[in-house]
Amino acid sequence: MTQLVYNKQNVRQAGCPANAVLKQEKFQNVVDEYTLLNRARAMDQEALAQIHETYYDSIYRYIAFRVDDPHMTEDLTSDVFLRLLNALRDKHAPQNTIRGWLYGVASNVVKEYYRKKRRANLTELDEATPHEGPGPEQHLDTALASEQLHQAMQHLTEDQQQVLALRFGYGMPIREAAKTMGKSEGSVKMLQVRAVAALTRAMTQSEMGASQ
Amino acid sequence: MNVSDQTLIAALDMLEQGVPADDILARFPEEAEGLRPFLNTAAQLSALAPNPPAEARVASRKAFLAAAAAPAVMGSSRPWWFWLRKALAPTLALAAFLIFFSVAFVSASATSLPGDVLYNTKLFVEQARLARAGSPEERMALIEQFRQERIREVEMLLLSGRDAEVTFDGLIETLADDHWVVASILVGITGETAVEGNPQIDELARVYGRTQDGNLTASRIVVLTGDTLPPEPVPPVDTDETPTPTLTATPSQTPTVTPAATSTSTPTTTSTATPTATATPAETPTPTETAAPTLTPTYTPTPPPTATQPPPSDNGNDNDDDNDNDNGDNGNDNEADNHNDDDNANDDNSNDDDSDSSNDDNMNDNNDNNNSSNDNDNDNSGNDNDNDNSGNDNDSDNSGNDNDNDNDDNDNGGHSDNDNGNDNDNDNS
Repeated sequence: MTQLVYNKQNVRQAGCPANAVLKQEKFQNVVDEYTLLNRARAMDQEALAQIHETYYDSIYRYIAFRVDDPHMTEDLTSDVFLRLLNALRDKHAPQNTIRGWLYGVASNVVKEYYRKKRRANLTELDEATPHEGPGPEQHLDTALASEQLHQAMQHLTEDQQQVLALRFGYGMPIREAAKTMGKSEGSVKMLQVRAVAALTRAMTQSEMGASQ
Repeated sequence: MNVSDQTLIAALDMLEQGVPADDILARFPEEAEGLRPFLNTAAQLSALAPNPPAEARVASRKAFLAAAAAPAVMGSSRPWWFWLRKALAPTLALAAFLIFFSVAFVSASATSLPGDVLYNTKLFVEQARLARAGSPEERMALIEQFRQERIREVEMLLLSGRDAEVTFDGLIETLADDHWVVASILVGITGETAVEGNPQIDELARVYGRTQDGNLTASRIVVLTGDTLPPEPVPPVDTDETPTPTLTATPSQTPTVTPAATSTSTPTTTSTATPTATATPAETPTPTETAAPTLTPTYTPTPPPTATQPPPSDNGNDNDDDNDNDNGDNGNDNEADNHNDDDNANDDNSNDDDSDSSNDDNMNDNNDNNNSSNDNDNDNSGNDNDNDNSGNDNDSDNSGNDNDNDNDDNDNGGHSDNDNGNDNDNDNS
């Protein structure tokens, strides 16, 4: 808390009003999340509902980015929040930030999913049962492209998949993604570019193969 | 697609900021062709993760809140052993670490020499082993083992030319004005060397000195006699008629042995003889003999007795007979107890060499005897045979091998014992 107070003082003393507003907002967010966490530890239903409401979409999108199965994505997302409950009870819950903690749990949940899938001797995507897809309202080409992308993503490195899921699924800014992955912003940018380029090459090759 | 990384990074940044793809391509006209599929992929990635269905979000929230309201279900659902393991994990890890560390520490100390950091640990471990020794025989064996280790340490220090304070016990082999040889180690004598006792060849001495540049200079030498030797080997005395040949030290009848205190501190041999005394009480003659020797015998054990053996004129013939029988018996013993046979063989040899009374041989024999001292003890435990000899049963079995074996045991057990064994035989005959 002393650190937070210090930042608040800095904000007050800052000469640039815009910078001060940003810092003030950030400080307020941190305080809110800290308060929210404390209430969640006491199993406050309102606080828990707020946490679920705030982060459900991001977690869902992050998982959906890596798991090409809507039903499984829903189950895994719910599992992430149930683990948060267990962590709150076991005193292993995040101390200050929920967002980064949830991302870490979601990442583990996805890894466990693929591990169990491999153990069950199931092929990952080649023999995946056709899911319901994006729905009849969506264009068929989009669905096909989405499926191709999912397949191509399986050939990326773990870091490349992570950065894409964080950036395009979770919606994390570069700076936060870099902090989450423990890398510099430049490294994350380069990693992202390499991942998109690799996907582009894979997509191009698959299209050429399909045309032949 | 020859597009630089910088262009790709800039294009992704612009796309994230909401700049239309066409504007980005127009910004990089020379790389537009290669950039277009890249931007398409990035645009598709943004649409790859759909927003969750509303019903899924509602269902998830309901389950989430229900689980929060039911702590028993979701809460500490972990099994009891999980918590036990979690609680004990640090302790077990620490214990494992300590065990590993202590084992490594002790094994590392085993090869340490005086002056090393771990040398005190080595001595401590030796003391601990001594304290844990279950039987006097085992204790004697350890003492002898550690005595040999001290000598080995001095040899290593001399070889390496290290400087260290040392102490060791050994037989005096050479006596000169400026040097002695103790346990085959050349010990420098100076004017400052304090000599306690009356040093003579083949007597046991404890040397305190310092090794330096490959030389050992004694600061103090104590000639160890029966009185000065450490009292470790004193075994318990059983006065009652405990037929079992426990190591009653005192009674040993070997009056002759008195002179040579000598070498190994393993008095065990003498002590072994004792049982015979305890058993014999039934016979009138023996007790008189036992009374006399009481003095030093406790320590006389070791090989030195070699000198003593010759004197017993009574034993002379007896010993010969015994030795002969022993060899023959050893052959027979092989069938019964292989271990004992080996022991007997060494012991017999040592006796023979002793009778030659050559100093060099004695030195070597001493080591052998020391090593076999335990064996003698074991044989002593078989001193029941002596008791048997005193009985009439042996007489009737004289022609058998059993009596011979018994005699062997007596011989091995102690030189003085030979008298009893042979006497009995003669009487029996």
